[in-house]
Amino acid sequence: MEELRDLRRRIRSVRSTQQITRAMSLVASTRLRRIERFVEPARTYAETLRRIVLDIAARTPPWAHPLLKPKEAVTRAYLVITSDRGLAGGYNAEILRRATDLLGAANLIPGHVVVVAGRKGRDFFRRRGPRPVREYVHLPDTPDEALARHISEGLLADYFEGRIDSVHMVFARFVSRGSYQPDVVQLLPVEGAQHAGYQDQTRIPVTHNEGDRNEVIGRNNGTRDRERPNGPHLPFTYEPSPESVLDRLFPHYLVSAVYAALVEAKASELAARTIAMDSATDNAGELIERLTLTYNRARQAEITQEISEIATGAESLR
Amino acid sequence: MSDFALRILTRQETVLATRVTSVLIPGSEGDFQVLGNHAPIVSALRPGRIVAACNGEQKDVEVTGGFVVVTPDHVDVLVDLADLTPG
Repeated sequence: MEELRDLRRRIRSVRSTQQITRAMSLVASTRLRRIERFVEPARTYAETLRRIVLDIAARTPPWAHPLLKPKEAVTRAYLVITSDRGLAGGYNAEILRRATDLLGAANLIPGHVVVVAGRKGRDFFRRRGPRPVREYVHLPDTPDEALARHISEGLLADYFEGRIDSVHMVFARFVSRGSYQPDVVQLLPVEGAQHAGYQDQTRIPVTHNEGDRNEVIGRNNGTRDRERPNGPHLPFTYEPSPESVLDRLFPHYLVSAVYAALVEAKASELAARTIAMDSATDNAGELIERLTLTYNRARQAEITQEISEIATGAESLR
Repeated sequence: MSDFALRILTRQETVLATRVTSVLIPGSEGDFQVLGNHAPIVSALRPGRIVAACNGEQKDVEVTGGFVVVTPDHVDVLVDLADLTPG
């Protein structure tokens, strides 16, 4: 009797957990649908600007502009974009592992700094170090240029005032509703000043590679970026001059790159949460099935025992 | 007259993507007109109106804060804000 009641209680509790996970999955996938359409424009915008920046970088002598000057990267800054809330499977853990790998590869040289977006990342680095120099939490649910502007102004100020020598951004790239890919991009200084066309090589080995990414994207949703990189290297004329265009274009580009990363990160987070909550719902279903089986067995055993007791009782009365 | 692709983009959306034969750009150094096979140019913009024309049809888009990238076969306008004037 005791056992039966216990089982019933457990089944009920798993069932209510399942209702919650199902609701969370539904909410996440609805929000994902809402934000998904912002990913492509943000990406196109940032990549178009990036190509122009790289083009200017490729034909301007590196010493001509502070943004192009390769500095000895003594103090590297990592902008790590995580989420405010958990229950998204391995999403934050993957980003943070990527970030700590980078910090580890840099031998955790004191002076390497972390700028963090999202509560999960903030809590992680506060606990484990290095302590974030700037923290951005309460990330907006819908893409927000103001936040991107805020973040990139902070980075530019730190860079120009010599507090940091390079900036990398660690975030999740949204691939499809079923997957995302942690990625690292160098933002500052602009690389590619070696007239290498649109080559995107950074000093650390783990950076993204444009070719690979296109392949991933192509495999997952059947579309391929059409006029993507290595297009003809056009001899652009810059109005009024390359330097002055770069002066104005660069902040614009940085905002766009950070904005695009925030959008991709948000979409990835929601995709991760949808997946995690779906599988939690499935697991709960399995658990309910198993518990129900055990429950029925126990109930049957009890009935069998009662019958045999009655039978024995009747026998003894004879 | 050869036509070319014109895209007016903000970070949130593609405001206009169409083929045009001519487009008037409010460059930071003054307005200029782009026809097909224009020499590649990158210019900052000042707030103003972009006038895109195709076969007598005309579309006006108010823009602020951004850049234009001109290549012989396409023109990308990248701005903070863009507003397609109806009509």
